[in-house]
Amino acid sequence: MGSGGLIVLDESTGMVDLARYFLTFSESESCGKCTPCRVGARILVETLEKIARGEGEIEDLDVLYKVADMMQCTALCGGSQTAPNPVLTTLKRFLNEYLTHIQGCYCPAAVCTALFEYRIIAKKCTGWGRCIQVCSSGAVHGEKKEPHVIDVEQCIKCRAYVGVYSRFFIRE
Amino acid sequence: MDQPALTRLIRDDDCDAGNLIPILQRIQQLEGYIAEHSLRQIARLLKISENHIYGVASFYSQFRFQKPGRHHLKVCLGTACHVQGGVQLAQEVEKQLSLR
Repeated sequence: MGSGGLIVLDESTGMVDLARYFLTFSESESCGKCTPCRVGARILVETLEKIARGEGEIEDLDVLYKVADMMQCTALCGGSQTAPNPVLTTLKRFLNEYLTHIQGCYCPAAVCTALFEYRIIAKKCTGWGRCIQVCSSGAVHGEKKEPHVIDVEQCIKCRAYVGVYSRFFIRE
Repeated sequence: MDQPALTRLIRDDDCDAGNLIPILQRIQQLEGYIAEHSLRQIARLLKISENHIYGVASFYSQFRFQKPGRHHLKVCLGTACHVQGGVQLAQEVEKQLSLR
């Protein structure tokens, strides 16, 4: 019974954000009957959100490990016992990404919106203008064939721009 | 839906407390939401408390308690759309349409 799916993601995926995303699902699906899941999932979500906002501390990783372990051992149903898996496996395989969020206050995948911004390198911009067409918040300005500029305040960091220019994307 | 029509709808399904969810589903389908007066009418005819009905209805995301808008916008927030900026897009839609 049930289903199995395979999701393939590339290096532009933020793993901290991904763990947070899957945990928000587990949190909302929780039936609420047992404390480990009802409260544990909430703690995991809040801690991951804190890290994604750039307010993470190294002790938060301890919290994640402890709460995840507690849920696996004491939750009443298989759903909650496996809910912490995204957190545990991303901590195991992508610990450096968590550390960059906490110690560097930087999201290397350019996903956690509080921890990066998009800028156009003027001398590389050909003024094509496709970016203005895809931008949903009107944050890109510039004339055709002139270097364009991103208004950082307006930019919602939605990645539409990344889709157009992925070949030229540089992470600094 | 007026009072008599609502009463007929509930009585059509037998005034049996076991039919609560199908009754709620029919009202949700016809009116788009479960109004307070509908809750009261169901409680009266099925002889169960409004509290109990609200408890059952509020557990399911299918049942809404506010009148729906005329235009419905949906932004997918599934895994693929999430990693492509779905959340940011939804927030921008809300901002541009002054929805929050």
